Amino acid sequence: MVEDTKIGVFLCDCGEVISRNIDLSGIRSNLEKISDVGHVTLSHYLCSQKEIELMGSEISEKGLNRVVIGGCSPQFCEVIFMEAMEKSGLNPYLLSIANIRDQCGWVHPGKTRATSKAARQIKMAISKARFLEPIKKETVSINRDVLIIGGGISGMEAAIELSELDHKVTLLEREKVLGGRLHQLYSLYPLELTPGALLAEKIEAINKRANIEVLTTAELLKIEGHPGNFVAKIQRDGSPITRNFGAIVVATGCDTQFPTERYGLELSDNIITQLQFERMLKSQEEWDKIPQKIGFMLDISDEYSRISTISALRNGLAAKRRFGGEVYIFCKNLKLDAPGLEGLYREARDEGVIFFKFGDGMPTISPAHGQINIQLEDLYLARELVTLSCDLLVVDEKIIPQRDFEILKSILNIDLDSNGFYQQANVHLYPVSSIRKGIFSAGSCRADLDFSDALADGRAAAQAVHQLSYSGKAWIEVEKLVVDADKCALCLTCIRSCPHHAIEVDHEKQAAKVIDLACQGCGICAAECPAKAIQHKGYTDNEIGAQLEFLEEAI
Amino acid sequence: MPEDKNRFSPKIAAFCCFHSAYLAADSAGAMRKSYSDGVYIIRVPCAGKVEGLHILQAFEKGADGVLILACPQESCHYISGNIRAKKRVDYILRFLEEIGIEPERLKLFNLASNQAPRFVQVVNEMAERIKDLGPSPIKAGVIGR
Amino acid sequence: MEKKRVLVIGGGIAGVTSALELAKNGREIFLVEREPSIGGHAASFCCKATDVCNKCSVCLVPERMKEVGIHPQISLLTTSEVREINGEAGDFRVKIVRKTRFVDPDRCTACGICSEVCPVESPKAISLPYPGVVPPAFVVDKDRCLRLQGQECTICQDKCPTQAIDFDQGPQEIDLDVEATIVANGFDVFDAREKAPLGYGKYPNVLTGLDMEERLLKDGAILLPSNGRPPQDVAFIQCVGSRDEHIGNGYCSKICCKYAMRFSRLLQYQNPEVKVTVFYMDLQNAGKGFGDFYEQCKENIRFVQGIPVEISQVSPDQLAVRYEDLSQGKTVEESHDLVVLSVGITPRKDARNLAGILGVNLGDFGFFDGLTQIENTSTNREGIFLAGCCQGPRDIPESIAHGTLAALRAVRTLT
Repeated sequence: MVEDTKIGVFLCDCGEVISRNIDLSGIRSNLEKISDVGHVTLSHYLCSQKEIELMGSEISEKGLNRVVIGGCSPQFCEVIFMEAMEKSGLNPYLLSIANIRDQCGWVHPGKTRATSKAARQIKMAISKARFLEPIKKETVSINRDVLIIGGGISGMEAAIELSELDHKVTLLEREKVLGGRLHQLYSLYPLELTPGALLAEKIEAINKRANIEVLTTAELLKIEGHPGNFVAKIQRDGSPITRNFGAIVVATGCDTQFPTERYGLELSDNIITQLQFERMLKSQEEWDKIPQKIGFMLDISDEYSRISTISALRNGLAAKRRFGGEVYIFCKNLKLDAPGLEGLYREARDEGVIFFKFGDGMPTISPAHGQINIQLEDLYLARELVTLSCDLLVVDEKIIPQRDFEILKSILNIDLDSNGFYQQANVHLYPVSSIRKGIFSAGSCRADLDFSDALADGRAAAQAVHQLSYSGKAWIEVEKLVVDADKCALCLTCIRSCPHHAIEVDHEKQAAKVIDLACQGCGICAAECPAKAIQHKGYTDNEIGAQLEFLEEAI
Repeated sequence: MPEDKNRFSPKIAAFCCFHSAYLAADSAGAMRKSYSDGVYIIRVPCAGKVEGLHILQAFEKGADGVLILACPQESCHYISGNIRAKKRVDYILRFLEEIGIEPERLKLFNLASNQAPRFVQVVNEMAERIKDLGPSPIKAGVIGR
Repeated sequence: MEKKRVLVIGGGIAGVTSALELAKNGREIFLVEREPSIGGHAASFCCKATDVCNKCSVCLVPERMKEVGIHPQISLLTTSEVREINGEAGDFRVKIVRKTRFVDPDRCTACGICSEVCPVESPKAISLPYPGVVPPAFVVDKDRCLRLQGQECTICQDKCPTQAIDFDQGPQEIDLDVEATIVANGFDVFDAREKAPLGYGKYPNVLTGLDMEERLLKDGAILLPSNGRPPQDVAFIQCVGSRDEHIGNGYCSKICCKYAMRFSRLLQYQNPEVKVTVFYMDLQNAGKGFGDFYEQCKENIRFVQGIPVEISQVSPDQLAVRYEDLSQGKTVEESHDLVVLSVGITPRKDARNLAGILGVNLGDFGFFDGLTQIENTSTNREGIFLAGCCQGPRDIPESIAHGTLAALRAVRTLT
């Protein structure tokens, strides 16, 4: 408590709902006896325009410097009251709400008991209010320029979208050309567009935009600065480049791997991966002999990937149409939960592609004399043992993280998930956000995404970046989490525990410093700090302790 | 005043995450699902904000039980807040008995914002448990003094 | 700079997301919702977490609804429908009819007095649809309200402390000028009655996935409708109304496998003794992290490949499920006390009507038609965009993603 508090308590009846179960007038007269309570009103309906204005004038006339509300849940009304306080010149954070409607009157039958609980709730709120501290708000500038790492489909799409929204974009690609995995694909069926045409279209769009800078054979070396104002050190062909960005999108794609141990086989001339098969489909010359029986094996490398199913359907249909012959697709489960896949499956079946489902039993695959023999119990044939031989077996692969994810992760100071892909901020809340504000991930570097999902993901990242930086500024709460430099021993516990990596070392003060723009206000650092050097305004030790005071006190 | 089991109404400090349990409690209100009136909700931005100190302080100030209500595992808005809360509760549970407080008086539960029925169930079960245990030994000590 | 204005049709999770994304980009939004409150289907869904979150994402819905409810740049037009839309991208003139809501959401404090005094019993004719409803205002059940059935009853109107109830107000016409429109009209849940042999609507212990959602949200537990006791042996039947060309629904609804597995886990968490069987065609268990979840499910849930075609009631509390056991190649009958039909997503019945008003094409199966597979938020009419399940089946995170993309497309036409 820095100054003398003068608390205004505003009790709301919410129509006449609260007073039916809680003796508000009784509570009111009780509260008037508290010495630093400068004002108590009982209002019929506090969130009405009239009452709000009245509240504002009471604040300024009586010089109230804390506001306590006894009424409904802060869920809806908190913002309304904060606005009113701000209008009358009081810092809106000097507000404490006792939720006596939702969390008392409505749930505790019996007026005596409900009144006694409500009185205690209000006293807890008053007690907290005495310790409340103002929080200042100010605008900070955010650089509208964006760095995109990875020139595959997600990265290119994000670049184009952002450029159309008037953001200056730098697109970083480690290879000599843009396009990533699109170079390896044969078709995007049922989309008529070929991967080559799509790629050409995107590259043309990128070249047309003056505000996209493409840096190929380039990589990111270092990131300094803060969200909204990053400084990136980039190396291109051995020479360094420095640029400033407000936000960064990671879209580096993924790798694939053939897990020999799961198949118990090595790849060979007639046991190939989907990508190899697509490459062969693309170039007619490589065929020595047209395969008459082609098998596609699914769900062995990765049972839970939809991408392999999509590729097998697409390529199986293409093979059937091109070579005639027999095409078999072996799977455990057909994963068709994406737009158009059910149709693609039916089309393949109508075209004569034959599907086998092996359920939980593993098929036996044995290469012999240039043929691959496959034996499995087919579920649709009452587990009858089926034996087939193929000229060519196309196997599924596992989608794996790229080797340099670890490096980029530490440069960007973000996290990887348990499978080694880029971690989302929260498993299902914000798919393209990373744990750090201003850094996003898109495409197959964060999840197992098909090309159309990867494209959409690039757009989603663009939208997220745009939302953060479109106005070039942000309105932030200053020092909501405040570090006491005298107490801080620089043990770095807070830096390690902050889930959003929003704390850094202030070398001048020799203390930890919370980056306000990046801070999301969880208070974990304050709870973890062994020296109690960090306080979370609104939830300081004093404020929480003051509320607890009232547990025992007789009302 | 001697308090027999029927008349004893336990006071429970319930630290509720504003992203989940606090909203669940509000929903319970809107559904008029009644629960023990000794439950006092203390709003926190995340269960990870609740320090060991606060838990012990609650007991010291006369809570008969303390509840930490966090988001379900793997859905914390701040990624790790609920895990940290669990660690702290586990840590305190290790010595609670040593300082004379039954470990049953401190519990952490995970629940989501739209689980009003579960909120009511959890707090009522807690209240029943504490009723069986009787008033907090700390409080009894204070009263006896 | 004058704020750019966008119309969003439909206040489900996709529309809500589009509205919020645009508002956060500094746009002014009119969110038109046919019902008295926003949230759509997902608002009546339940959390499926055990101690661990099972990633159903339902909790995102009330959170976003609330944000919309208090966002200064979003105007909510409930009980409203679009009647006409003229002009072109950048300059649409929209005619909206706002039917009377009876309870003015700006005045209603959700105090509940009206419901208490309402003479109609169980359920009351005026009530709060569910906690956390946005706008937080009571809703009149037109079919039950005595006044609206022609009787002389004004009790709630007289007792309302804020004079929020008004039965005499007629429909209102609202004209708006907007630059872009986002259609997020949502979906209908497949009506399981169309599959008469499955006995939905006939046998009390046959429920749909939607019934499960609503019961769990309200009561937190599932009890057998026939006797009020907890179920012991539950069967889920997948693909009810999905992947079924005979009824014209030749698509996967995408959500049912996941919700069936989540329900199964939740039922077993609440009662570890309960036996659960899932009858399926193909399990849709792909997706980030879902494989691990399925592995856990496999431990205690019996998965049977084959879709039952007939359910009969052998006693008031027992159902017989007949299916073709593919692994044995013969028809088998087994008994369960609760059967849950995993109903899927179908286009809204009024989609065709709205498509006509908007001049936008419908595509396969009656969903709104995206321009191409990769531009599926755009339509044949410039300036009109699609979001969420009106374009095709989506789960909550996908609807949110789609709503975001539609917003991005709308932003681009506005710049």
